[in-house]
Amino acid sequence: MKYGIKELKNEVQLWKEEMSEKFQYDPKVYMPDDSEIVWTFDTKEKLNQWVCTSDSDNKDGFSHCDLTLSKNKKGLFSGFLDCRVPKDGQIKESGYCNIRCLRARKSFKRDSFFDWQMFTHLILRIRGDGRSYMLNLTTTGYFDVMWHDIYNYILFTRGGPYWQVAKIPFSKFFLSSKGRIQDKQDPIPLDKITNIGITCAGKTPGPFQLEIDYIGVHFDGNHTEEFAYEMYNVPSFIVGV
Amino acid sequence: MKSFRPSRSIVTVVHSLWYLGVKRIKSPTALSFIRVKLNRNYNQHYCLHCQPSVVIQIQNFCTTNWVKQNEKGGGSTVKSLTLREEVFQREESRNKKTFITALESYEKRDRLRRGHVEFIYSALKFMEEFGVHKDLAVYKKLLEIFPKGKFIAKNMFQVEFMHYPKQQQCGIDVLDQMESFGVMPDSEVKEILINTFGKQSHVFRKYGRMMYWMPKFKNITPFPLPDPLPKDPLELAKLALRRISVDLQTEISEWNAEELEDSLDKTWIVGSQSPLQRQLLEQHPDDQAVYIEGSFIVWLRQMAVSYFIMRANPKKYPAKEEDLDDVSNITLTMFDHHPESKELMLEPSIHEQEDGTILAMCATGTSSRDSLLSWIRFLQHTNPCLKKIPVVFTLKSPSKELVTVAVNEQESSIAESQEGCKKIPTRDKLSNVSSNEDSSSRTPSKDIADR
Repeated sequence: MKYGIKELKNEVQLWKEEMSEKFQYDPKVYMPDDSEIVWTFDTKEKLNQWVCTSDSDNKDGFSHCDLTLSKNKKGLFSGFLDCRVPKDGQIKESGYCNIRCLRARKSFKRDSFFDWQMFTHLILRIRGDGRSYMLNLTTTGYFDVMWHDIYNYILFTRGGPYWQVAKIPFSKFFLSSKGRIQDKQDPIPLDKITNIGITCAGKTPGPFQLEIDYIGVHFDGNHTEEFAYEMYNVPSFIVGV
Repeated sequence: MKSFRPSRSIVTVVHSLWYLGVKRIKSPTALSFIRVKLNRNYNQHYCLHCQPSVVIQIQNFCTTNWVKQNEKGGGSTVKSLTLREEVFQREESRNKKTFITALESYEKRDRLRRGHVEFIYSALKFMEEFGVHKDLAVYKKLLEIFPKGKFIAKNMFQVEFMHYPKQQQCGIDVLDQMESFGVMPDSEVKEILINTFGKQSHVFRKYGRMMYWMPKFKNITPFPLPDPLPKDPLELAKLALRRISVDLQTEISEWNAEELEDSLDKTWIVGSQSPLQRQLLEQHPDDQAVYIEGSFIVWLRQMAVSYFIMRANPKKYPAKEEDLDDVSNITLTMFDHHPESKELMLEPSIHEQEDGTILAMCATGTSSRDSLLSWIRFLQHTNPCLKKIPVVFTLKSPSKELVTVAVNEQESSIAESQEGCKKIPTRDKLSNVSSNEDSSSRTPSKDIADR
C-alpha cells in the first residue's frame, strides 16, 4: 500500500510535468550538427533501465552475459558466447546475447515512443573488441503481425584501447521480423521507436566485451539519403508471402 | 502404432514399377535387395496417418538412410547396409578431393538418385569437417545431385503448395548453409536451380533474396580485412595492431627476442608506436610510472589476437569555468584597452584518453612477461627516456577461466583446461603468467619494478 502511494506520487509528478510542457509548448529546435544524448551509463540506476538476456535464459544455448559498470564509470556489456547447440532436436544454431532498454513511458506507466524525427543518425561512443554487433531498433506496432518489427544494422567495432564514435544513418536500417529480413522494406518510422537493443551473436565462440559511454541521436544537415534499399516490382504471390 | 498391411494389389503395382526401373541395373542382386527393402519400409512408414497412395509409397522408398555398399576385398562380395554418413566418415583424409570423390561415387552408383535428400543432408553436415564449407564449386556439385526437371511446378496449385516439399526444403537448407558461411552464389547456381526446381519455387525465392541482400552487406565494414585471413600468428598480429592503431602515422615494428642474449622466450614481437606517442613519452615525467596492461583481445573475424598496451596516467586539464554572461568587467577595446590574454593550450591528441594516455602497443608470440621485457628493451632504442622511467606490469589473462569450447558434438562439458579455446590461436601460455609469482628467474634490473 505504501509502495503504491509512493508510485502514485511519482506518476502524478510526471503527469504534472507533461501537462506544463504541453501548455508551454516550447519544443526543442535542433540545428545541423546537433546531438542529443539519450542514454548514458554512469550509474547503477541507469543500468537498471536495460535488460540483459542470453540464449541460456531461453533454454536455447549456453552463453552468459552481463551489463555492469566498468571502472571508468561506463557501461560494460560483456560475457561469453557459446555456440554449442542444445540437444533437443529442434534448434539448429545457437549463441546470442542481448541488451535492450525498457520501453519508453509516459506518466502512469503508459507506453510511449521515442520521437526522433528531427534526427538523421544514431551515434554511439563505444570501445569494443573487434567483433561486430547488431543494433536493433524495435518499432512494436499495434497489430500482432507488427509486434516483432525490428529495424537492424550492424555495429562494427575497431577493437583496441581507443574509444570509437559510431555514427549510423537511420536510412540504412532494414526491417526484420522475428529474425528474418522482410521482403517488403520501408524506411524506419522515427516517431514510433519503442526500444533499442544491442545483440552479440555469431559463429565465433569466445568472450566478448563492449564498453558503452553513451547512445544518442544526431542531426546531420548534409545527409540526404531517405532509404538505402531499393524496391522492385515483383509478382504478387511470390515475394512477401 | 498399428501396423497396416497394404493390399496385395498395391504391392504388385509398386513391385512392378520398381521392376521397370530395376531392369536397367546390371547387378542381379539389386532385385533381391529391393525386395528386402519393401518389407522393412512398409512397416516403418505406414501408419494410420499416412495416405496409402502409390506416389507417397515411392517417395517413402526414397527416404532411406541406408545404402548398399560392396565391401572392398578380392572375390567375395559381402554386401552390408551402411549409414550414409559413413560414406564420409570412412574417408581417411578430410579435404576437398575426397569430399568430391564421395559425391561422385554416389552419383555413379545410383542413376536414379535414391535417397538424395538424406545424402545431401549428411554431406552438408560433414562439409565443415572436410574444410569445404566456403567453397562455391562444392556447393554447386552438391546442388547438381538433385535430379533435374522432376520438381518443376506445372500449375499454380503446385507453386502454392510447395511442390516436392522435402526436396525444396533440402535445397533451401543448402542455400542456408551457404548464406551462413558467407558464400555468395553466382549465375551458374541460378541455372542449376531453375533446371531443378523452376523459377517459382521456394528455393529460387531464397536464391533471389540472397542475391539481393548479400551484395549489399558484403563490403559495409569500415575495418576491412583480407579474405582469407593469414594463418601465421605474426601476420595476424600485424593486421590486428594496424587495425587498432588510430593514428595514421603509426609505425609497426617487428623484432625478435633472439637478438637479446638475456631473454628467455625467443619469440617474435610486433610493436606499434607513432611519432606523436614518442613525443608524449618524452614529455612524461621521470618519476611517474608507466603501466604495461594486458592482455586484451581483439577479434579479427574468427581469430583472436592478444595485445598489450603501455599506458600512462591521464593528464588532467584544468577546467576553467567562465561565466560568459558576466558583464561586470568588459574590456573597452575602443579606448585601447587590451583584453586579458587567455591561456592557450594544444588540443589533446587522440592518444590522450580519459582513462590514460596510450604510449605504445604490442603483441608477442608467447604473451609472457619475459617477452614484454624484451619489448621494453627494443623500445629503448627509439625511446631512450624509457631507461629512466619506472615501468610497472599489470598483467592478467583475457578471460577469467580457460574453457574448452565444444566444436564437436561428442565434447559437451565445459572444463578448465590448459589447452584453451579451439579458435583462439596458440598463444595460450597465458596460464603460465601471473602477476604475483613470476616463474622466470630473471633478475630484474633496477629500473623495472614488479607490482
